[in-house]
Amino acid sequence: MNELNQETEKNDNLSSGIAVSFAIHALIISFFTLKAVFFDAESIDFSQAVRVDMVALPDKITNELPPPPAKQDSKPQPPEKKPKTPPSEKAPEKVVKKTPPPKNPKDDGVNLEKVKNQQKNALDKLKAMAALEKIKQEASTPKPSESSNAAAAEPAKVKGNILSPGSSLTGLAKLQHENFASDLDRHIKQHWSLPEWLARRDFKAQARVYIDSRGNILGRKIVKSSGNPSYDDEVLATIDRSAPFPAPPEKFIAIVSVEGILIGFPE
Amino acid sequence: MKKLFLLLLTVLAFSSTGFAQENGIYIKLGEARTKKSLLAFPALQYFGSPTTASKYQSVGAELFKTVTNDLTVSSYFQFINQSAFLEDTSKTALMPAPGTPNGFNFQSWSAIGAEFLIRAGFSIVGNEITFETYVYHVAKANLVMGKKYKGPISSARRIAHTFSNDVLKALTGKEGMFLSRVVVSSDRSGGKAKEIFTMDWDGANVSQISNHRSISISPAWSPDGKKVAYTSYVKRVGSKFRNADMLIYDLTTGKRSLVSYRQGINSGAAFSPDGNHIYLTISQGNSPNIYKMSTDGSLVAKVTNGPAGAMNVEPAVSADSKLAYSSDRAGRPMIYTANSDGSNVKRITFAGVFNSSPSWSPDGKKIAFSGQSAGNFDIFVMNADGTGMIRLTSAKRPDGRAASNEDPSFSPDGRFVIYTSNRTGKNQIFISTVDGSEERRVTNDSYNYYKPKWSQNIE
Repeated sequence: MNELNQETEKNDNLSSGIAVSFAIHALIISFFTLKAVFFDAESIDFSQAVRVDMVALPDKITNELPPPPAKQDSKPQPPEKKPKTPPSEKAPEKVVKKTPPPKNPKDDGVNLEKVKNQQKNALDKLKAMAALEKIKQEASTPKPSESSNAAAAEPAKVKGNILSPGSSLTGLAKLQHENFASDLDRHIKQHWSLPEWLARRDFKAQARVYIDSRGNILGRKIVKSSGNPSYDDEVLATIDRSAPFPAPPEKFIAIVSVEGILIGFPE
Repeated sequence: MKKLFLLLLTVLAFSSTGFAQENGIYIKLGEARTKKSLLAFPALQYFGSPTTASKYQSVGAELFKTVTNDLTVSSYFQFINQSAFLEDTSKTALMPAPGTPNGFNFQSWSAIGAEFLIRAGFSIVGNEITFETYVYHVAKANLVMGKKYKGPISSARRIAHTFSNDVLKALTGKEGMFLSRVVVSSDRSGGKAKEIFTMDWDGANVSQISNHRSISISPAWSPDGKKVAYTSYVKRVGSKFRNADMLIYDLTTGKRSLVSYRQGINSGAAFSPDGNHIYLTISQGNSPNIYKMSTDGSLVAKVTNGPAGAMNVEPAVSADSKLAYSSDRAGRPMIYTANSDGSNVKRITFAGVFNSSPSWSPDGKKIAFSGQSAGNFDIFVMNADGTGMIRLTSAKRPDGRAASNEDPSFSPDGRFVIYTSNRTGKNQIFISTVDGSEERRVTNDSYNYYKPKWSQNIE
């Protein structure tokens, strides 16, 4: 009799134990699910991970012709989540669709050196492929322009390696952009000086300078005045002293002569 | 799935703002390098008759020298040597051609690289001197400031200081400190006595304001510059011994009164910003603590209390009524800050062996103090929370040992600090820019000076 009672007791204990266990497990799972759904807005840092251009080997693009609009919209997510990258154009979008699976293994425990080397190799490849890709683009059918992406106005030309106003930069162009920007920074800094009586007074001004393909000044103007005309004069004088500027890479000639370079004194 | 859906929504929401982004080139230059402005200051023209010219040459020279010294110390200017001038300024008018007959030419000044040009002249009628000044920006060929000053001949230096203040105000928007004065204890009256003296910030116009033939120390200015509080070892009528009593001397009326004569030490006076209270160290037979006292001598509050017999001395009051003082409650004298009622005590120095004599900058953001680490004292400036400490002094004495630099006091414009240094063998007053880049000697004699305090500009 006792054994029977003990048996049933044990069974009861067991079932209640299982129930409790289930309940706790369910609680934990739902907690993490909810956390993942509603709070996982932290952007994953893709900057050290594979850039789009690394896997955006040009010949693969041609296979991606007719993606449905919904999918296309979801593609910009990874590049938009990158801290610095502006939204991608149409063509890189298509490429990106392929990247999430290959990216994931690289996200975890990225070896900086390895990535840098890979980047370098991929870039070299890119440079070689750039010409090839141009030819292929011209040969291929124009991309469908029913995408919601307004920047896809010139699908045949724009692929992320050539600039167009309001578009993104990826890969080769992005690196050239950064190199040019740091060259400019270094160059102008050499000429940026102020008399003591204007210094350390928290003046802030911004100016735009337009340069031609050889770095000569086409024009310059103050876009945000510091409020002190002498300070603004020193800003313009600094720009004048900095001529000629370092020659812009080919692809930026249009930008620096039309849009100009925005310079912050000091920011 | 939900994640993708949510991300899709956010993407659609942000896609419009995304397109507004540029990939234009944006360069942030950061801080500029700074350089001093080249200033051309030709000799003053005399507008009187040539016969009286030699008589008044000394007045002109005094004006010229005072302005030159003021503007050099300001650290904004570099004077161009007169031998480099292309124009004979005794032959050209104070204003430019073509508007003025025989006016000067901006080109002859831009050719030598001058950024600013001061053309000035003076005339004397009876006992009154008129100082006419024009400050030009050479590159822009425009007048920055044009002013005439009038006053008795004896006030020539004051006129020069006023002009220097105005130049700085016109350029930087902030007045200079050239009309300020310094109160200091010194043995220059002879013998073993130390008396209280006031002088211009540049050491001129020394005036003795105490004559107790005793030791008088730790003077302090009232905020309006009209009164000086100081401590003197005096023997009061009816008492047997000398006591370190605190007196207040009114500079305008000449009245002198005892304000705190409790037994023991009554010293280290520091006026509150409204001038109605004095913070001081009183020992009253116990360990010295800081008290708040009204100017009639009645104690208002005890601001510090030990702990455990620690000494709290040398109070300094900021413009927003915060206190800084030196206390050895942690073993060695260190600098502490607190509210004016003594609450919220914070220790802000941790290095060194003996940190004392704190002095607030006028904006309350920095504190200068004298700190000892290796056998001598040096002047340091730090933020009011103890961070960002820089050293201002590191001089050597004639015998090769490091000099002691003590008792710093900030200028009213917050750009300079004066202190005493014994690097010449005697305690002389020196002045340094707040970043330690330029140090100059103020007093140039063989007397000793102690505990100088800098006043506001005294108009």
